[in-house]
Amino acid sequence: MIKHLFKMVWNRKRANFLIGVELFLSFLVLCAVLTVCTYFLDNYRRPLGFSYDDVWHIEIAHSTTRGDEEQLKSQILLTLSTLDEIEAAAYVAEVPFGDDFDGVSIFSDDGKRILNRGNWVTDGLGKVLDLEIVDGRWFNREDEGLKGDAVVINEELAKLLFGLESPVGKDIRRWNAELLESRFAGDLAKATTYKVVGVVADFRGDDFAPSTPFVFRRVGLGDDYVPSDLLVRLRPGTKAVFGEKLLARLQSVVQDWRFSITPLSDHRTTNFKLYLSFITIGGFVAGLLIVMVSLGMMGVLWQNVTQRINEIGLRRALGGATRYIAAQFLGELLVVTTISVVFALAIIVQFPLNDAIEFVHREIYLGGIFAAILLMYLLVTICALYPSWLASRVQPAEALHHE
Amino acid sequence: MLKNYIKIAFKVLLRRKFFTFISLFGISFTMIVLIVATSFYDHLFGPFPPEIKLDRTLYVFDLLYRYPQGGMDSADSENLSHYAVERFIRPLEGIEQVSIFQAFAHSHTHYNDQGDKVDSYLKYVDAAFWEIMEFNFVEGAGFTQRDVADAQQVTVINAATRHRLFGDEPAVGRTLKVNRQELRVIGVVDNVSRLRVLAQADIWVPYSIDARFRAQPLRGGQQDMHGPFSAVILATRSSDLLSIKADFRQGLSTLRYPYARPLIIAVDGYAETLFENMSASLFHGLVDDTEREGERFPLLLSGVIMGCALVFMLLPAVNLVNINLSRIMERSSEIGVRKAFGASSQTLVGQFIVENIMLTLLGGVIGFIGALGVLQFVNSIDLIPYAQFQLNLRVFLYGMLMALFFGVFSGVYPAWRMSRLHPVAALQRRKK
Repeated sequence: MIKHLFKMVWNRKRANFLIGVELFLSFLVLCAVLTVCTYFLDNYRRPLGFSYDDVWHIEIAHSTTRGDEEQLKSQILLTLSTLDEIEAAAYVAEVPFGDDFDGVSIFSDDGKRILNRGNWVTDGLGKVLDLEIVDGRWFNREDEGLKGDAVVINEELAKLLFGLESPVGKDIRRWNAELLESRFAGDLAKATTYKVVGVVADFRGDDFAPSTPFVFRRVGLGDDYVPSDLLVRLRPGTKAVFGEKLLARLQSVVQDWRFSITPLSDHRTTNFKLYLSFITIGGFVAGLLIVMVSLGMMGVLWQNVTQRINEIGLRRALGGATRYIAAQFLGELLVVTTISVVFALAIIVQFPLNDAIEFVHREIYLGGIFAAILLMYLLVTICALYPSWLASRVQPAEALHHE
Repeated sequence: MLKNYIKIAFKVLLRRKFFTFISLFGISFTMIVLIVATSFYDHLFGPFPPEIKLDRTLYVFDLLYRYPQGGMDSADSENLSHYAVERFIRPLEGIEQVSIFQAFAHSHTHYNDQGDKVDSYLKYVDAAFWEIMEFNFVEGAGFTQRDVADAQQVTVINAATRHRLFGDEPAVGRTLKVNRQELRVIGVVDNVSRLRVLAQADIWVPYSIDARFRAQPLRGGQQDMHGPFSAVILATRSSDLLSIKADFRQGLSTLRYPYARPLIIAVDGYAETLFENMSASLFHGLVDDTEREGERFPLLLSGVIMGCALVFMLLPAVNLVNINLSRIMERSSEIGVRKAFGASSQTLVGQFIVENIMLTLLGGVIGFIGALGVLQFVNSIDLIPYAQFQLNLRVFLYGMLMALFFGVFSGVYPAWRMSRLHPVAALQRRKK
């Protein structure tokens, strides 16, 4: 039966080739959409790793001509600590719900870059974002001597680098041979490592961000570089009007810097809206593409049935049961679909092998592809139902009379 | 001849309505997506207020400071100082006007009299800005050379800010507080889309009221090239743009950069059109840009845009080809007769392509109506602040061009197949 179906498909190879191309392209679209959807859904259900309620973001815009920026920044932090409404404050290089967190990279022992993301932060952040420490401790003044080389990593990175051992007190490679060569002409004495002081459960930048290896790198207030974004945790129940007082206080420290205050939850809403609109637009377009293909496929099959009416009539006259005829039409299409899917899969499997898609876990990717295969066969079957039924209704006498 | 083809095409369309529906659905949907994308493109790069004179406008966003190979990272980019503008831009030939302004508006929080939080984007500009950019003034006017020279505490706000602060009442003459300075509103303009990065803001103020923007002092006997500004140049004629670009780079190449440490071997800069500027900032960092050649990024961006459109058209085109192919058989008798009476293959190919183009153009028109609805929806949900996506003649022409291309793209193969039908076989295959 199946061999016979292949023969039938081969006999009409020119027409089937184009149908195959269409199914091949549709399958690629389905795979892409479903992988992206499962990816986002999977990310969304994971814990964020921090709490954003009662946290405000203060953005500082300042000139770099004065030369005393770092001093003023620690003065601002000092002023904030005198305010009753503020529980904790910290400078961060990148703010959750919007920024990229691609500022820190590290290497494994064999010199391979470990894909990771990170942030430069001051000591207060653990308290501001309510990060959950699972091993070791968060940064404190004792790390000052490490000159910006103390790091807190997340569990995923700990597992990746040290397996089941506790990473606290261990060193992480900051450079590989290549970078070492370009920065310090290979001078090993100048190459420093990061020292792990603690491990947090996880940290994801926003609701749809993946769980990836992550590094918090400590910034001391005396360092050459202090970031310009502040995060502050307010005492629960603090009213929004406190912002006015806060702004006045900040301005009283530095007159000619400008500040803008945004609750972290506002950033989250904006970020959420952005993702949602991308997903909706993408999903809508892809969905309509699939509807278009399905309708087209149905039309083409329908036309096929009218064209092959003689053949059907002959089969019926020789005693072929109606359900066999319907099954033949469906079967032929399924054969073409299978061939297209196999070709498409051959291309798709190249992607994770080539590290083309970095953050997508294998399970997600496979899940997406599996869902796409199921949906593909389901859609094709639905498209073939009506034309196949039509074929099975052909009256032998009428069909043979047709010519 | 063409009239006959169109007549036949129309008759065929009416023959099997389900197929016509399938074809038109696919084409219109494809065209809706493409037209909406085009409108988005037009919104980003087209001449809209206030950037109307784009064909005569060049932007100098920053200057590139190059280090010798191996030292530091290969190049730094910095905005311009007054001095850099006065020495390298203003003396250029063929220039009508030069404006200096802050390229990116800064977000700024303040509290109004009721204690409500107001977040605004603030931009520092000069007087020429109001002449090069053609804002639609709702009331008042922009500030003058005089205002800037005397550091008058004045401001121009957009309609949304007027609404938030003064509740749509006339605002000229009233004051608002920015950084403890009381600014008097002298003009209100229509909102400018956030996507027009270089022009947009909520509040525009003269740069001279902020100490950071005043002319920089001498440094070690030399004028500082680094500053807070970008510049926009209005050329006298659009044909002068190329020579202005070249002269600007030529002028910079004569500069011997005074500082020994860090060693800077060359200063480079580009005067760019809006499209060049946007493509450079889009690909900055993604592509190795140590040699930020003027033409490379715009070409890359155009390539990417056209590539995306083509890839998107692929599936609908294959779909349409399949439908067309199966519809040909329906018309085999007609083809047979025409061939028997001596119609050449080319004639038949031509006829079929014309028919297909008719169909896609019809789909294009439907797509246009659909796109209008989509854009109205997008505008109504305020996806991007102040952005009003619209359909205009430019978008229409682009859309029709794409429909034409789509028609040819999806019509050639079925037409070729049809023209190859043997007349005898075609006539034999008569149906009902």
